Amino acid sequence: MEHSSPATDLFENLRLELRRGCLVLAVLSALRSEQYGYTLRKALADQGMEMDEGTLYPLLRRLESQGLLLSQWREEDKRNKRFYRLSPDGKIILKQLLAEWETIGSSLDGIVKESRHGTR
Amino acid sequence: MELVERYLQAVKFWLPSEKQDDIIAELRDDIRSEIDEQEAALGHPLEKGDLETLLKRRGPPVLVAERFLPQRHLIGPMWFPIYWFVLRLALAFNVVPWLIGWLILVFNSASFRAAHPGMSLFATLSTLWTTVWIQFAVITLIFAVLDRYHSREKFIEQWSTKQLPRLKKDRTRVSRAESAFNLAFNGIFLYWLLSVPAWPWMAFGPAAALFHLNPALHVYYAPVVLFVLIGVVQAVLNLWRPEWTWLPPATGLATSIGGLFVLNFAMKIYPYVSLLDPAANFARYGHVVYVLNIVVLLSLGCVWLGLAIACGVHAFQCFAHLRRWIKRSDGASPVLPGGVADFPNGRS
Repeated sequence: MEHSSPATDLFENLRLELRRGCLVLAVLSALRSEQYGYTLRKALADQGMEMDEGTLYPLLRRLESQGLLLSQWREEDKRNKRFYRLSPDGKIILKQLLAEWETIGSSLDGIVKESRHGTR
Repeated sequence: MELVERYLQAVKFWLPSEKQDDIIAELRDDIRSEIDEQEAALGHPLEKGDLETLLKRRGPPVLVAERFLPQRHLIGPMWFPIYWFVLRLALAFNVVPWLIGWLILVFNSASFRAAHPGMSLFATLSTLWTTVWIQFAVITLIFAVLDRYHSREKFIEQWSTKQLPRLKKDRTRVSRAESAFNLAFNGIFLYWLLSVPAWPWMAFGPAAALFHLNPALHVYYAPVVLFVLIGVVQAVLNLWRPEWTWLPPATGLATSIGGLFVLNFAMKIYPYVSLLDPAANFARYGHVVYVLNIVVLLSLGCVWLGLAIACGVHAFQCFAHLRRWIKRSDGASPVLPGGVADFPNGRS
């Protein structure tokens, strides 16, 4: 049986923390076009953003209760599926979040580059 | 598919009734979509073992359901640090008096000592246990109410820099003024103690011609001198090495325990003071001796209580030093002036 070291656990916790903040952005961006849960999960995984169902579905419900998503039950392939898409409020918030994301990204780029120069 | 339905039924049990059908329908579709995909890849229906693996990967039903529930807490993050501090304070205020009471019983009650040690400890512990539980419940209830009705916004609005406490004194050094005062105090006390055998009037004043100390108490003279001498040595050492902050609590603990031990025996030697010539002076000074002995008894009782409290305080300080020392030897963050650890709790 494989045992994880404290350093590995710490890295895993920090990695999850880092990813957690990006999940909302990834889900909102992916739902600019209508999708149901399973296809959304596959689409995110294909882009390298794997998310288990235990994380995705509660997140979708939270975003819907916050008014950022709209959902609708519809039959497809002889099965009832719940389709999600961005609400008008969701579109506005997504735009703001993307702008914030770019600001954070460029700030972080600068900080990381500076610290790399400093450690050389 | 029966296994899937059993799994979904188990998840459903933990979900709130108003949402369970909706959540289960969505989970059912997700599981079936995954099964469809795996079957398409394999070219045949999934076997029971494959289905079990698929469900096992999704986790226990209770944990799956838990992710859909709102995060609940009795006391939120805003109040929790204060709540935790008050709880610890309440515990300390219960345990220390209990410990003092227990020590008094152990040292002074023959019937308590005669009883089975386990039973007598259990009897006093159950009192402590009941009090602690009641206080825990009351404190938790108060903070739960505060958490519900005192909003974060109001808390932030009411906060002012005037509420900030003063800077704590530098705990990385023993102040030289404190050491000098201790040296002077203990030095004078030692001089007085050493002088009393030769000049009894230094203890009794003009009454030294009439009264004297019970000779049975003389055996405790040397330990008392030793305790005061330890205080003098500690003060001198801390004047020389102020960074030895562990020394005052360590010597304090040793002398408090020693003092309690000596006092416990000395208090039983009654009368403490008697007349030098009872035949000549009893009629006139008999009641004075009686009152004097009562005063000495009460004073010794107060000293006993003071030493017991000092014992608790010094034990706590020694424990704090020991904990800091263990942390440092484990390679933890250095301690900055003021005793504040560098980046406590990972915050800068």
